[in-house]
Amino acid sequence: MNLSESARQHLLKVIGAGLKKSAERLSKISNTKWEVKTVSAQTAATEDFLAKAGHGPADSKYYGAYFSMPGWGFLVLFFVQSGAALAEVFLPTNLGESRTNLNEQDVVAEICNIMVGALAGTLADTCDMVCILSAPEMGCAKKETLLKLALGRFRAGGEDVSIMTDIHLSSDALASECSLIIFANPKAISAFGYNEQPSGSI
Amino acid sequence: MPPRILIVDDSPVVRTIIKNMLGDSGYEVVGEAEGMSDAVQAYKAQRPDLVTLDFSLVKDNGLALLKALRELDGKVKVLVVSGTASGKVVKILKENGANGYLPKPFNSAELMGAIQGILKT
Repeated sequence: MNLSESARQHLLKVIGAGLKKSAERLSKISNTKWEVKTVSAQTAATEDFLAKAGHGPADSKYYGAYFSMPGWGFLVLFFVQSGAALAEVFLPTNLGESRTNLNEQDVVAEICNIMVGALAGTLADTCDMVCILSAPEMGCAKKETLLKLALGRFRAGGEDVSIMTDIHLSSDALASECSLIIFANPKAISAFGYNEQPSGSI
Repeated sequence: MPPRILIVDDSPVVRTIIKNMLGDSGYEVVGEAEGMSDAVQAYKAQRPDLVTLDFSLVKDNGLALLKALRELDGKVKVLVVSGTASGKVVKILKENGANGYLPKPFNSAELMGAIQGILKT
């Protein structure tokens, strides 16, 4: 699907509003300020975009959490050390023995759930839809691997990628950052009421 | 006698956090459940003063469970907690008998405030 520039800008504005809420939630969880640093968008899952979004330090592992809702896919990526730092501040300090029973990946999954929920809710409200976000599918691997798996999951539903965004959020105080990659299919984009443009448009 | 609470959430992390917050505030956690059948059984056995319910249960639909609890006991008090802040969802929850809604993340004061607000009614 080709979007006009104004439709693309409007969609990015809606995503931006949702991301602001996601950053606010991360800030609340960690008692540090999280900010959206960069947002880039592409109207197809091109190899260049995938290479850039999947680029990370060699041999570094990331926690990846993949969520979906009709027409949308969301992949959150935390460098393992960032995820661990966030998990540490998320849990109450007086859990005692209960803390040892909790798996760090599960804690990161819940944090990602809270973060993506804000964005997904904003998207759903804009289209006057009920937001039904899936449970997170977690993994720990290289960034490129997690991205390919997430895109494969999105496409396994028979979905075409209409727009793909790569977003970076970070907290200087916590020395943590995360990436959020969003996939959307033509039907999801249509729900915003955009009209398809003749080919050649952005 | 402290208020008796049943926690329904499929995340062990969230159940642990809520249980910790409730315990610190002098509430009694009478049970924990991950889904529909556990929750219904636990409710029948314990008849808690309030249920905290995760809307986004994996195996079972949170809304279906809300309806099931209300059919079981018309006076059940349910606080829905959720990571998904959708206006339409909140409206549907209230139309189906949720007594309150608390978005994640929440701190202990927010959880206690929400619970106390419901228990007073």
